[in-house]
Amino acid sequence: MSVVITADPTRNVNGDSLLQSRWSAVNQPILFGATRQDHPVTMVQQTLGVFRIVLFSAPAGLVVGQKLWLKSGVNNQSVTISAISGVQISLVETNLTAGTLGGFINLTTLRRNYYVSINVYSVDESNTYVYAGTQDVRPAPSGEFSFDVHGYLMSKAAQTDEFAYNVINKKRIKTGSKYNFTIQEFWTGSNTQPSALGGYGTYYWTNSAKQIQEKYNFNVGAHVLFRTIDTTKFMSDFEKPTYFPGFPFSLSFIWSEKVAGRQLQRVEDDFTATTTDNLDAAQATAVNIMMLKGGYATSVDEIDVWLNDGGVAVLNYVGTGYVGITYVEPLPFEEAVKQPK
Amino acid sequence: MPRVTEKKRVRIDHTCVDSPVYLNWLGVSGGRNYWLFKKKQSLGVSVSITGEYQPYTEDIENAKGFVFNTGVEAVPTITMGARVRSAAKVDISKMRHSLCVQMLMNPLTWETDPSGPVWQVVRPVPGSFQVIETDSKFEVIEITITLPSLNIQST
Repeated sequence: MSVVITADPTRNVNGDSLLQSRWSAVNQPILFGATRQDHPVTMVQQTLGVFRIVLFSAPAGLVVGQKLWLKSGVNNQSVTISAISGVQISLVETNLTAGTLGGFINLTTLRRNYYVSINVYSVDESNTYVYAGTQDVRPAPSGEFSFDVHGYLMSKAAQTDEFAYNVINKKRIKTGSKYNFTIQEFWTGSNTQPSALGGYGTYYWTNSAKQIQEKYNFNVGAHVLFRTIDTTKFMSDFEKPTYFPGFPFSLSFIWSEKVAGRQLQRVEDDFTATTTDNLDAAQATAVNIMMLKGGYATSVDEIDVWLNDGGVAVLNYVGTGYVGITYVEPLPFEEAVKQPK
Repeated sequence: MPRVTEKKRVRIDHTCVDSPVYLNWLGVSGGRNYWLFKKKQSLGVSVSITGEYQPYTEDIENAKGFVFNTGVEAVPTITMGARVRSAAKVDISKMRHSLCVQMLMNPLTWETDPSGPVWQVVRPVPGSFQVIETDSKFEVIEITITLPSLNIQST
C-alpha cells in the first residue's frame, strides 16, 4: 500500500453522484486530502489480554520495540511492538479494541523522516503532460495530510485573448484543461518510485474565480457539460450578451470529459428557423471558445443559441505520410529499369 | 438530439457605428465578454514629468534653457460612451474588475488581415465608470480607458 486519496475537489452537480464535476477554479484552492497507509491489516485480535495486529504479510525490518501507527476500526493511535510471530505482531498497549475491520499500519520507526512529494503536471497544446511543480508534505503522525495544487497550475493560465476568430470552435488550453499528479514517498535511506500518472484519476482546471455563496465551492460544476442535463451555463458575464455584426464575438464553454467523443452541435434559433452546425469534436476536453454563425438579417434582433449532443463523434486522423492502400506512385524511368525483373 | 447547455439569448445589434471602440475582457467565469462603444467622447494624453535637471548657467547668452526634462511619461486615454439597456449596464460594469481588458485595434480590417483581430491591452481608469443619463429602459454610460504608454527617450 502507499498513499490513498481521501478527499478531492470533485462535486456532484445537482446533488447527483452520477454527475460528478472534476473541474476547479484555478485562482482558488484546489485541495486534496490523503493518508499514508504503509501496510494493510486484516484484524486486531485480543488473546489473554494481549493485543495483536494480524497482517496479510509481514514487512521486512520490523523488530521488537519499534513504534507503529495503527488505524483499524476505532483504533487510531501509536503502538509499540512487543513480539513478532510471522504475520502476528503483539503490542505493548492494552487500550485497544479488537475487530475485523481491516485498516493499516504506518511504520513510523522504520520509516524515519517520512515525507511525500506531489509532482503536478498540466497539458500543453499537443495534449502532452508537462511538469508544473512539486510540493513536499510531511504527514501528521496518523498519516493524514492535504495538499493544494492550484499554485502550480495558475502559471499555465493566459489572461489575453489569443483566438483567431476564424473557426467555429477551438480549445483554449490556457483557459482550462486537464492536470494530473504523481506521489512519491521518501524516508531516511529509501524512497518509492513516483506513482503512475493518472493513477489517482484525471482532474481539470479553468481560469475562473468563484464568488461567495456560489454553489459547488471552488468547483465550476455549473459550467461543466453532461449528457443528461440541459442547464449547464456558458461562461459569460452577460445574462443576455450582445453580438455586434462585423466584430469578433464568442461564447465559451467547458467541453468536459463527460461529453468527449460526442459530436456537439451549435444550434441557433432566430425564431423563424433553426440552424445546426457540428462543432470540431477534436477540440474536446478543454475550455472551448465558439463563434456564432453570423450573417443575420437586419430583421433578426435576437437569437437563442445552445449546444446539442449529436451522437458519437467521428474523428478522422491522418498521420504524416499516410497513403491509401490502393495508392500507386509511378517510378521515374531511371529507377524503373533498375528494378529486378 | 438532446440539449446539453442552457439556451442563451443573444441580442443582435445592427445599428451603425462611426467611432467604434470594441472591448473584450476576461470574465470571472473564464469566458470572454464583449462590448462596442459607439460614442468616442474624447481622446487625451496624460503626461507626467518623471525627472528634470537645472544645470548651472555660465553662458546665459548662448544657453538653450534653464530646466530640462530627463524623463516624460505619456499615457493615452479614451473616454467613450454607449447607450445601453439597464441590465446590460450591470454586466458591462464588470469590465472594471477584469484582470485583462483588450481593445480591437483593426476593427475595420480584422476579418481580412492575415493576423486576424489585433488586440491591445487597455486599462479602465478606476472610478471613471459613470451613468450620464437614464430613462425607463436605457442608460447612457461613460468610461475612460488608458492605452499602453508611449515609449519616449530618456537621459
